[in-house]
Amino acid sequence: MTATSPVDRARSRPVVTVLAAHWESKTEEGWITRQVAGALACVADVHVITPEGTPAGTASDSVFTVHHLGTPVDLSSELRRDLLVEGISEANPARDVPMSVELSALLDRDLIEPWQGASEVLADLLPDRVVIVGHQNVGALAAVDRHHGDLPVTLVALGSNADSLAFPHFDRVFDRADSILAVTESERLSIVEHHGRPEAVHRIGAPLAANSSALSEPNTWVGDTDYILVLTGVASIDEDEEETDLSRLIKFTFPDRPVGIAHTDGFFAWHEGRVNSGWPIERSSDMARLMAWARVTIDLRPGRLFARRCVDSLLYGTPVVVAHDSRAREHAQRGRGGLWFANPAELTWCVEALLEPSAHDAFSTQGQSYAEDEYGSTDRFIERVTGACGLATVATPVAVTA
Amino acid sequence: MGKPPLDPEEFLERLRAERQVLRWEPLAPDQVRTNKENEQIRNRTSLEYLHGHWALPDSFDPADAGGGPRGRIVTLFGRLTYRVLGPYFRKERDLLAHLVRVNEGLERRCDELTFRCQQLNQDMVDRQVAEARNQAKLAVWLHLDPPAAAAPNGRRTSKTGTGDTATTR
Repeated sequence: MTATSPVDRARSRPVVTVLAAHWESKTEEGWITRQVAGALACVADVHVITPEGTPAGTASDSVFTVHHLGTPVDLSSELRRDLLVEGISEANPARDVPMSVELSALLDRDLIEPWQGASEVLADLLPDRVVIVGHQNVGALAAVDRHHGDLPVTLVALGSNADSLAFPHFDRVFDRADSILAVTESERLSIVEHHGRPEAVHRIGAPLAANSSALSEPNTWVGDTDYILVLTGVASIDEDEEETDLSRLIKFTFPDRPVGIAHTDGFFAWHEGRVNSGWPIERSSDMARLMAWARVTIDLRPGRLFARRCVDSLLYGTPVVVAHDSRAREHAQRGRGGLWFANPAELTWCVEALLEPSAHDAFSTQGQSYAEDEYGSTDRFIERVTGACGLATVATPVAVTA
Repeated sequence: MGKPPLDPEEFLERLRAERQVLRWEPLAPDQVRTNKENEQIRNRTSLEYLHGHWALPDSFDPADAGGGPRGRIVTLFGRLTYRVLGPYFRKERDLLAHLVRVNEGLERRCDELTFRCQQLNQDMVDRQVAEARNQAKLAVWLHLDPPAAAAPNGRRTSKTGTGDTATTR
């Protein structure tokens, strides 16, 4: 079987097929997948193949043609694989995990079959390039290789977990890809450390922009300005969660300063020992206005792939305080847009330091500049993605609705 | 020419150096000591021997005497001995039976006490862990500079932890 046919030589644009186990925008992984596909749509006809959706069929979604295989990947199978990787990596810190046939079969159980139908779709589309989403997506790789063993492959690594990036079972996905896309520098370095080929691993960032309307009027839930915004990612009744303890620490340590604490079940504005409670933040515009007018944003559970909320905060010129072992640390350290803490005491020192005008202003300016350079331009994002995939850029970007 | 960039790494190092003057941490809880299983196995082996050998013979076995005139004399003498000392042997067997039962009971009781000791030890360690966790929180507070204490007028202001519940929207 060949990758091109006489009919395809007449194509005006190349055809790119994106193979994603999940096609949604709710998670950071899902959102960046859609953005990468959108960037490719500027220079190519993008078809998405996903096992999701029942019954099987083809549908249009914005600028994409989505081919639903109707054989969804079982979430429990993915969870089992992730737990196995986590457990085995924990037991083998030296990363010399012996891979047996039995272990491989256990890791891949119920994750290869959902992709059986993808080879037929690929045979119909005859793409010039495929994009495999997720370095664990061995099922998609198998489908591509069944169709055409030499088809150019780009991998969107989605390396949220360092153990998984280094796990030898997924080496074949990295080895097969001629270009690998990483969102952040720490993800890129982690991939290069374990798989080499620095020339093939590209940092693409993400297309984010500050919503200018958020700066026109403050959100008065906490106070007009200069409050501390704490994003917990847990419910307020989750007493056992560390985030609950840390948010409590902040509100008690800074009683004279308004503190807005966002839980999943409500928003709590503390000031001088009093609390105003409200509904949880659901609209992104509310979150944007809260970030835009805050003195400092503390993200206690940032996104695992690229900590999008922290980049958003930096785009509004609000410095961030994050955990030292989170992906968000890159924005604070490399972007010089904030500080990071290793224990509760450091958390309070960091916040206190950023409330000082001189430090706040310096980190605000530096962080905003970093966020705009690396994440603030859709055009640059498109150039990075298309360049990494070896596709020429055309002038007009296509709007991608999430 | 703009201001030189502020390096967060250096900034944090300076912050740590300034703040970490007092360093107090709670003691780590003790490890739970597990019992020595081989000791229990040895006791159990002795007890099993007692169970197997406490019943003494209640009559003379002629096979032990051997054959011939000498054997017949030994058999006769043996039977005579058992007939005379029979009541004593039976009492001794009853005594041994009771001793074995008492040992069995003591063994069981020892196991129960050992288990209860271990449980008590575990309860104490759990309590130590809880107290250490609580003290760790206290340690954090001690490391902090309470803003109320650092107020310019030097007076501590009291704040209530709960307040009204007016909604934000």
